[in-house]
Amino acid sequence: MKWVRKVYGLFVEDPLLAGLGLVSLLAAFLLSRAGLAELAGLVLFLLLSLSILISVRRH
Amino acid sequence: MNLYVLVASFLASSVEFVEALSIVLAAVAFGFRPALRGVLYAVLTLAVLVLVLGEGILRFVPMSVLQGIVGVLLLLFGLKWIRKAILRFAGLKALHNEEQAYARQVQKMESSGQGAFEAQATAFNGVLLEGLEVVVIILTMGSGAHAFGSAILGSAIGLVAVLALGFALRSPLSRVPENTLKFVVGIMLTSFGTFWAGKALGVRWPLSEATLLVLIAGYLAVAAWYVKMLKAGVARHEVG
Repeated sequence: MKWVRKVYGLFVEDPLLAGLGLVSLLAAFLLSRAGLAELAGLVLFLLLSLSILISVRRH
Repeated sequence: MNLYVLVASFLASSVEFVEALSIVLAAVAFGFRPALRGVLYAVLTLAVLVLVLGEGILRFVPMSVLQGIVGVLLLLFGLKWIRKAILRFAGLKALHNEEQAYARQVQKMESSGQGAFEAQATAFNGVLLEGLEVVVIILTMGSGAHAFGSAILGSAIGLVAVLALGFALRSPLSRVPENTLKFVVGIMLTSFGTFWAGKALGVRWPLSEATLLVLIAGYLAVAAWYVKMLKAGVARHEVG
């Protein structure tokens, strides 16, 4: 159990940021499935940047 | 040879090796042989892990699925680093200091009073934990870009550079600009993660691999802006 926590800690420090990151990926996936594959990249970058901002501001 | 992967792997691994070296140097103060034994056991454990995971993953998981998983993991890894770096540069989190980390480790071992065993266990734990991060870097970078050779080479150059510096200075590497390195690495890992995870999910990057440079520049600008904004907030708070 201690090792599971260590491995989790390797990737996640702020669960909110990790969650927002995954939501951003989901949005990019939906956009690319809708035929907007090039726009999806820009949206992904903007959503991830916004996620970082939310995470650091609530620190 | 993939230069992007080589540089990213070199920088990210070097940061981990610097941290591992500080822990090992603290253990050496309590016994050279047990510390060396701890390092050896940790390296063997890591080698087995890489062989089992690396071979297993490549043999049983399709490359497209692997790129998706690796991209997501790399993105999470990068977001963690970039967040920490922004907070450190904005003055909201203490900067990492290898000399302090070294002194803390020595004090911890002095208070336990178990000498040799403690030295071996400390070196083993330190190398295994920091090494695990290097393994993650090599596996994710290597499999994401089909460039295991570049990832391993970058990491190996990092190891040699850190060992050479450690030998030359014979002290914790506090002169290495570790916090700046972490900032750069956070931006690179987040850019790689965005690129590969996005690609696996169907995103079409207009400039192919060269989009990585645009992403790196973009995240760098965004992070610098956040640091400036947070610093201004801290200053306002102190005045108020």
